[in-house]
Amino acid sequence: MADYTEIKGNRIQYLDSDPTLTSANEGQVWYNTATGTLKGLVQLQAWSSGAPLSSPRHDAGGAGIQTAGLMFGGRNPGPLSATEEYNGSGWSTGGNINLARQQIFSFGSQTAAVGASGYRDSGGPGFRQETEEYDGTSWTEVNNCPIASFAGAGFGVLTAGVACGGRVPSPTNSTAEYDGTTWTAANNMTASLQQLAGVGTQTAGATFGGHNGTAIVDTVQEYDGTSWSDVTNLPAARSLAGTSGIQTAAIIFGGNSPSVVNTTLDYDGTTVSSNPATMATARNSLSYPSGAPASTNTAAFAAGGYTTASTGVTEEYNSSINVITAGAWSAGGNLPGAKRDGGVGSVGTQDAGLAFGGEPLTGDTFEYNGTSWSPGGSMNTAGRSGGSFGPQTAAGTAGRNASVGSTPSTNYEEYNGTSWSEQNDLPTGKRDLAGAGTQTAAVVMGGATTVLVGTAEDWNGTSWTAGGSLSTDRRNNSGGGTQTAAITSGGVLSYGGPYPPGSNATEEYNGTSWTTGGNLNTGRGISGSSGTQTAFMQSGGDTTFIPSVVVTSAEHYDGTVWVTAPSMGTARAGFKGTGGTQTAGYVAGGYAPDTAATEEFTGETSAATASTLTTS
Amino acid sequence: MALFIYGTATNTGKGFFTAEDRRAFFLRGYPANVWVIGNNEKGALWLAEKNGVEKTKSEAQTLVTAEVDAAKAAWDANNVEGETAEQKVQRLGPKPTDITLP
Repeated sequence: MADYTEIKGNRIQYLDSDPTLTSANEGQVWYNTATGTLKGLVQLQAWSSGAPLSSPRHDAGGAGIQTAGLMFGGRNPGPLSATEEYNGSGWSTGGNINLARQQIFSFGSQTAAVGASGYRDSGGPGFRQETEEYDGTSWTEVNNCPIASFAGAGFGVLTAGVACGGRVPSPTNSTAEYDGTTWTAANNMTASLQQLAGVGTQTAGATFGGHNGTAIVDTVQEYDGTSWSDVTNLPAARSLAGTSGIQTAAIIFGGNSPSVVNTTLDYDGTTVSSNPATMATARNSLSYPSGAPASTNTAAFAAGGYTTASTGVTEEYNSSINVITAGAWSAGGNLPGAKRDGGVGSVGTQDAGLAFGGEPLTGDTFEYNGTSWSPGGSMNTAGRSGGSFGPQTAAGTAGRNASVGSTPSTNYEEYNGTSWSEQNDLPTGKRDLAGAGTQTAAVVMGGATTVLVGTAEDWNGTSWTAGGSLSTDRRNNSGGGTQTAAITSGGVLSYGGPYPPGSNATEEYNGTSWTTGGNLNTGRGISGSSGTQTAFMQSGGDTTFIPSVVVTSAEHYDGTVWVTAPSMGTARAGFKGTGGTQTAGYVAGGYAPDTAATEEFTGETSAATASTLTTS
Repeated sequence: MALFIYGTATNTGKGFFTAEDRRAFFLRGYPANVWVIGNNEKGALWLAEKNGVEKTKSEAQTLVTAEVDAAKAAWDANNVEGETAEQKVQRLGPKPTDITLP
């Protein structure tokens, strides 16, 4: 008689190794005979750290999603007007709201957000009715909200939003709908609540918990575009929570219950259940709310809040079969000797780099293979601070000088992977300039002659011609991209001391003229750089020059805005040249103090990863 | 074996702790850059990799308490003439409360 196995086969697959995993494998379980482990590809939920807000705060307005989030207003301890935008990697500065205030009704997206009403404890009546709209750049005041309350919930989009609850000063059950122009009174909530969290759309919204003026409550209410109904209850009363998702698939996190909590709840439109993920930092008074129409219960962010003080902590929630490995710097092989202000840091690529010249004065060249440096051919003229570009086997460096303050050179040399050769000189001697492009089409920009300059020169493989001038004269600026799509950012804004703080200005080149780009969050010069005009990275650098304050921080540019990126392990400046990419860059050498260290940057990756299933 | 490791480490933002870390060991942050970490191999390795400084529970509690006490003192000292207690809470948020590490 056939047994069960002969009829049905094994209950799970026995495999010699894990299969190649894609989303199609989700839910599958197998036994890995090589490792003796039961494995599966299942959704796992967890909170991980994100880049902190530049301006710590709580009770802020919030909108958007994990990869395009928005925080505005709030308090720390007084009312704030600052806006910050999140791209899933870092925060960048947005336009300030016109009226600094806290506990604002908020909804919408990063580029079409609404902030209404709220509270301001100075400069006029506390309870506000002003409504402001954000277009991704600036806030514009529009028609007042009819509910002069604060600490209520908002949800929906700019053209179809809802504001509900809050305190006036007692809790209210008022509801108002916004159509992008006009506010209209709507039916009241089933209970008067403040400090509640809201999520969803104007025709399918939900609120969670809150405070009725006497106690924290566990109420879950839903709105269908016309009326409110009580649906269910949270496992425990909770107020001041954050939320993300839609009416039928939301998460609720943090808040007071009754003391500050770090737990997460799931809501499916009918019932509330416990989610295994917990925030690392328990806090309340997250943005009001974190919910936005495009937000999900699988990817959320929690920014700011209150612990014993306002915090800038950001955490990201993900429910995924993928393991996300955050971008990070790691140590590479050391240069043979400490080197600064040479063509070091980012000429070539992370696994085919090039370092040459620099101080102490040298013409030595070293090639990097991603692990270690080995000697290459020496420069014909030793020097430092040229404008450099190109890959390891076809690099160029134009201009230079012998030491700080010495006469700049017109020299231009090219490297072929073995040796350097003299080419036609620059029309004017320069030092401390930036470069971009290749041996057949390059541009070098900024620098110093006997004065600070913003001039640029184009190279066509044979000769140099005058290019468009920068709007801002500068030296020791960073460069990247190609001759017809170049970028330069940061730099030193004077020829000699006293020095103003490092420049935060960015300019973009189309082969003819320069236009202004977004501003770095931290002005700096003599930084590492890599990438293109639309995917650029600037790393480390000096922010004050004399005395030097070198930094570890790095920033990413997407062609429009700069956001914070993972920091290097060692603070330093003194890099020249450009190469690599935004997700695979490197820096080598630098000062202060002079160093031989190399660091490599690897951008964020995401891959489906099997979990080992255990009985514990 | 103790359930937790206590230590201080500066949160450097993205990548400071990952989703994998959160699944591998208990992790909870407190004021004064104090972290309470699940006492297993991965938890201990995480603190070392983040250049953290291990503390005893008592030392960690002292750091947290000092931060909370400072926040309380700042809250007490922040007054506006004629302001009611409720108005003060409205303006500053609730007074910080004691935190006891697990």
